[in-house]
Amino acid sequence: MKDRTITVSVSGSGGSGAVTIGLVLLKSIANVGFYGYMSRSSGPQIRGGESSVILSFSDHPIERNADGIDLHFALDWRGFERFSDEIALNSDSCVIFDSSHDTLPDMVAKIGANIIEVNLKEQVKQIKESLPNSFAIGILAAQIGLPLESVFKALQQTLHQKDEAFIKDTIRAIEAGYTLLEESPSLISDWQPSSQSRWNISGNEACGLGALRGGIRLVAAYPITPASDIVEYLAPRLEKVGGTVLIAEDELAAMNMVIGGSFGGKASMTATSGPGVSLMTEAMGLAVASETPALVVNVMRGGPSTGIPTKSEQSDLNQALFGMHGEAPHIVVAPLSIADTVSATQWAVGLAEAMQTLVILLSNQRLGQSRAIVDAVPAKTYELQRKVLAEESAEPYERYAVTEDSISPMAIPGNKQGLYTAEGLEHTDAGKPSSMASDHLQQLRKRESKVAQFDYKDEWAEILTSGKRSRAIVLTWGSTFGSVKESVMELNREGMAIDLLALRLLMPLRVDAIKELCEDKQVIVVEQSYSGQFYHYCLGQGAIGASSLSLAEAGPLMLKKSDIKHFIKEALL
Amino acid sequence: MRDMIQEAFTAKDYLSDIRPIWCPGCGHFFILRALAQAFAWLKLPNEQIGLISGIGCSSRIPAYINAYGFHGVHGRALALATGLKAARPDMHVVVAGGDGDGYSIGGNHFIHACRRNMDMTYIVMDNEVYGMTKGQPSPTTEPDWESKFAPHGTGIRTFNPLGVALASGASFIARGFAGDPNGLTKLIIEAIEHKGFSLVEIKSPCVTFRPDEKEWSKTMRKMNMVPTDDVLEAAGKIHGSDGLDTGIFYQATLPVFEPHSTKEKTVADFEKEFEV
Ligand SMILES: Cc1ncc(C[n+]2csc(CCOP(=O)(O)OP(=O)(O)O)c2C)c(N)n1
Ligand code: SF4
Ligand SMILES: [Mg+2]
Repeated sequence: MKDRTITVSVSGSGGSGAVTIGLVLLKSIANVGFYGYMSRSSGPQIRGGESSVILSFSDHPIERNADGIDLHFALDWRGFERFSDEIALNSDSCVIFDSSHDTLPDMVAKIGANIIEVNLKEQVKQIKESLPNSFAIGILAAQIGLPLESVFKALQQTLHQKDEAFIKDTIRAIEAGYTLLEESPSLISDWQPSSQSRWNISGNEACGLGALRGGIRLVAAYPITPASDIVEYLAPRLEKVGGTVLIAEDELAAMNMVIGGSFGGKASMTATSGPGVSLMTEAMGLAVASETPALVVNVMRGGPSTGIPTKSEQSDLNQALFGMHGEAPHIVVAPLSIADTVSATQWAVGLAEAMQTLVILLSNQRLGQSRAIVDAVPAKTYELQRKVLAEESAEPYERYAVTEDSISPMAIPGNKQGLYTAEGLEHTDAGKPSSMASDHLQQLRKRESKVAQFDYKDEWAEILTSGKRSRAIVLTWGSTFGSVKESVMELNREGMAIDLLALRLLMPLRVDAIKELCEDKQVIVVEQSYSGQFYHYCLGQGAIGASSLSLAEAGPLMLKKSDIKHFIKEALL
Repeated sequence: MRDMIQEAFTAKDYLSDIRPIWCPGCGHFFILRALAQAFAWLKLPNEQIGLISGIGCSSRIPAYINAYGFHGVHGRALALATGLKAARPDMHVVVAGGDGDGYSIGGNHFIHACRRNMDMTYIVMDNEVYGMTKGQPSPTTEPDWESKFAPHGTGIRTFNPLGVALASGASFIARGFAGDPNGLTKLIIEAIEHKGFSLVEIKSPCVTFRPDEKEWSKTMRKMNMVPTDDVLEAAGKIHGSDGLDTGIFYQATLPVFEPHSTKEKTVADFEKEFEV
């Protein structure tokens, strides 16, 4: 464990409790002062299908799974082949499995990992209300070196609603599991506990919190995997801070509801995934044309069409950038990690409000549905507010008046001075429908210039420089940031000088700033799409040169650190 | 039904100075007038009116009314209005549009707006044709009406908006006629005053693409319906009508969807949930 990270995976068929084990272990590691990250994967069944979690633990913040698995627990082997891509067992892995159901599958046997069999059926017989997964928790805790108290505390935090007898027996089962195998050296004995205040949060929860911080007061949505968790997080909370969640009949409705709420003066958003965005697209253009602030969160999954609903990809970038008809300048923002999702979402709300336009936030399944122990994210003040017409304004009101910053004050219904009709038709500065070339050009310029000249400050990207004269710079965006960052940092430690530029602001593209950072360096663009959408976008905009290289891999498997490192090394040979 | 009394507010206070794009003689003019008259009678503060529409000749109406308006995209006016009403329960939300906008492309929103029964009024300016796109058959067009789009007629039976509204849970269902301005104004007033989702389906001749609809001034029966709050009775009236009856078919007190929110918590309270 030279980089002080351990990775543990758990798999099992439906109801076996792999996810519960993951949640308890994640909380346990948090209880002893460390960090962790848990991604989850499930088969196509709605309930009762196989599921798995992969946990990576460390004594420093970690927001990705390591390439290899140190320890795997198979509650049973049913459906394991579905995860064999994700759960990358190797000859260094230790595999523990419950032999009371089935024997070791050939595909695992031939890997040559260290195999430990346990018979949990036997164990369960001895403790009345116990479940196999409680023994598994004990076994894994012992293997990792987690103190039992941290696990019991985590158990209490997880099972708070269950009855006492059950908890008692579960504790006994965990204790029994803890001592079941031969004592092994703790994997975390030399780790330094953190003194930071930390959070246990998923990416979708982080998005919800960012929305609350940003002042969202209306959410309208139609359920879709993997975005529904955002709405489920917000539904019971938003109504307690003066807001509302509307259940829309479809995404066409959701987007229009968002526009209606925002027109009424309340910051509004929706959360969806690719298919939903496809349905929202017409109204997204309306938000742009009518200059109504609106936030659309797209938690991307594999596409096209219904695609891979439960897994991740970054392949809706082109849709977010170019999906609308006509010329519809808008903002596209992407969070770089779970922790970053809190502030990126808050920022996205602010950008929509301040510029009175559409903002698309591109998260994805991996970012949204993974959970991590992160340092608490302090609230930021972006000072991004909607410019509204004063109640006492005396001048004749022109809703789409061309101003210096191209943002015109918006009248909020109820203001006597600001009666106007918001328009999706091209219009004059007073908001009167017009098909005149001069009006069209004036309003095209206005809508374009307000987003082009806006000051995005330092938020537009995360920039890591090697501190030396770097030969190369890696350009990436969104959830691939975690893997790319670790790869680049390791290469720098190995003596290569490489910079990293991770974009939070994808549209408008900061072409000049990117060019400056990339100057005289080999540019390597890393992303999770089959066709290299991000690479082609940067190339097309002239932000990077023709000698730039593209590492583009389709989802749903996470880009491996080793592959990224290998690609960079090859590129710089 | 109340009598019309001259009030201090007049229709003029609610009409903007933008000249409608409509063809001379279009039924939509009469609906605009009746709407302004209804606002005046109710003395609604202009700034508390939100007039929401989609796309079509009819949907141009917000620009002609002096209030807050939204001319959105085709078929989605009810959804946009739902967002507005949820965010701003203090606003008087009125939605207006055509038969194509509301019953065809926006059909799903129509059903769900009825179901939600939010306190808003929906005015459908039904000319049984797509006027704006120059004369294609709509869901309310008779199956044998011949047009370029459907040379032998659609062969599809007409949509029954009042029946669908009743089945979907709307609590106020009326039919009006553009050619009966007084009756129409009264209907709109009643609809706006009604607490819940009120549908006023108005027969409005498209003189350009359906000149035959000029006949309506002879055939439509003026305000001959007596309201009922009994669903079965209303169903009988709606399905028994030949489409020429006007008035309130159904008016009942039904649960109104109103989002209720409190301010009992702050965002900081929710942040604590994440602490380990
Ligand atoms: C998405 C979309 N599809 C089609 C159109 C073209 N379109 C504009 S108005 C209209 C029909 C309008 O008919 P109706 O709602 O009955 O209004 P009317 O013009 O008859 O008053 C259509 C099909 C459009 N604007 N948007
Ligand atoms: S085309 Fe028909 S509906 Fe449109 S304005 Fe002319 S008469 Fe009215
Ligand atoms: Mg029509």
